[in-house]
Amino acid sequence: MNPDGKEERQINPPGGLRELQEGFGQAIRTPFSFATGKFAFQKERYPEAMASAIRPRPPQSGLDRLSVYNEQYWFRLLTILQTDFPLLAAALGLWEFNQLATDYLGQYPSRRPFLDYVPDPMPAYMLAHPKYGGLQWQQITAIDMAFLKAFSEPSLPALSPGALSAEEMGALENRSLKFQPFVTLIEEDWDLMAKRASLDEDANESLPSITFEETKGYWVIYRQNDVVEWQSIHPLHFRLLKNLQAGFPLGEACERTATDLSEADQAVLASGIGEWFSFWSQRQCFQKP
Amino acid sequence: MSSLNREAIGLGLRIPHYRHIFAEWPKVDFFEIISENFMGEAPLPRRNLRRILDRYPVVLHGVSLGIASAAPLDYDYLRSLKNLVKLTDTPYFTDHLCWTVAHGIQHHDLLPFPYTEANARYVAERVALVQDFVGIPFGLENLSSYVTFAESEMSEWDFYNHIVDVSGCHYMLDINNIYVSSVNHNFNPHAYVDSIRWPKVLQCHIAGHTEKPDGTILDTHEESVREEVWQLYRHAWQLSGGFPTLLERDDKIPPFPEVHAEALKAREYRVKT
Repeated sequence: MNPDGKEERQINPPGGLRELQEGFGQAIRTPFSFATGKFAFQKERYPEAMASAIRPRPPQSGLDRLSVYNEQYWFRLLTILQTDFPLLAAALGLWEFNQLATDYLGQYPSRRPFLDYVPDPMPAYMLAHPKYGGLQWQQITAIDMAFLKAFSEPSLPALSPGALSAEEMGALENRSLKFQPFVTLIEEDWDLMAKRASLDEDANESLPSITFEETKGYWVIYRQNDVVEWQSIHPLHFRLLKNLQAGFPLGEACERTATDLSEADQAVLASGIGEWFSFWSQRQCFQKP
Repeated sequence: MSSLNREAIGLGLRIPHYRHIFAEWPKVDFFEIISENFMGEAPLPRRNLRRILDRYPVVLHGVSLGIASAAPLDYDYLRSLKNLVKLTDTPYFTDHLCWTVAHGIQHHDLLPFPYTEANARYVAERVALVQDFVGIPFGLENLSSYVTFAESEMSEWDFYNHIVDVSGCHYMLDINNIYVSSVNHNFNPHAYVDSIRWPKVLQCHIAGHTEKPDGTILDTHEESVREEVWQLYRHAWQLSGGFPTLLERDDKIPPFPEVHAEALKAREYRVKT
């Protein structure tokens, strides 16, 4: 019984329905073969029972007709993943990406009614990937995930320094500041963010794989006024935000950031802290403590 | 909760049209939203929905209920749906006569199953449960399909009518789907339309489809409504006392004024012959 007093009853399915749906489902999840350089159905891998369960319509066999659903399943989900991971798709090239995404969906098929969850296990999948588990691929995946999060994660009550008393402001030094769920800190060792920003969203069809130049970069990907934004930041700024993200209170995060710095960097930090804090709190990127 | 005028003409709410809608606030009788796109935590869709709700009636159309799945009903899903029903004040909600889940895997497609007496009893019971749980009229949509089953014991329309009769739910009749399935399975679409109990129709869909080289017709919603479908719509309108009509466009989406103009073409086919 739920809070509305409605019973959450279940009905037993008639004999054979579950088996038929499981066989049908297995058939339409059968991956395409990529061996010939073109998508190819592997109807020979459909469960045998499907051949007699589905009526033929000559010249089409029952399995030919079933392949319409097989094609729709993969085209729908591969398209979704191409949209969710544009940088990864660009880095791999579409043909290679589709093979990787097919393997991914084999390992992590969707188990919820909402498509939003389909991309979630991708970072874990990439980390364990025998060929694409390296740092560059992890960073690429993290950037695509950060854009998804910036769009989809909720906004929690935000820290608003202007609304705090002097006493509350003083107390902040000893508090941990949490970022909003839509904020991601990104450290890159290649020009990944620049390449992502230059992607043409409509050019996916003929996407060639792209290559990256080595360069160090620090970014915050977040949301402001319902728009996904990204901001390049100074390495010390990034170090401070990482210390805050690690849960250190504001004062301790500043001290840790200042450890082992040259005099010049200490000066950068000292002059930047107030401005940086103000920048992110104005954008409501910290949660209310 | 307010019901829709039976002459109302609505559109599926789609992201590429937001900019135009929010700038122009065009006169549209109602919008239909894909329920699952607004049931999650993502704040932006909800915010956009609230802006739409301020100005337009909205009805809910789901794609993931899986009323004919052998898997248990997902009450977490139904609770989220119920919350959305409250938020939107929709006069009814709709979903498809299909299954979606097997082996715990969600296929994100509208999948067919055999039309047997046993399956009819099972689906009708589940439909009644869902309608009672959500607490407002449930409109069940007929599928477009690409296979038929050796095990089937009756026509799709006999099965569909039986579910509506027994469960107490309503029709969300998709005219294009009738046409698509009639070509794919070689039946007379007028026989299907003639069998419908019109007072139980909450709403009708119209949409475009695509023909594959092998002659199979796919329900792609990526083209304009074909004349054959409009003619079937005309036939349905003549038989009925009218029904809210909604145009679905999900791919290769033209600018809003073009899609809206196409939906309004429905008026031309409402003339009695």
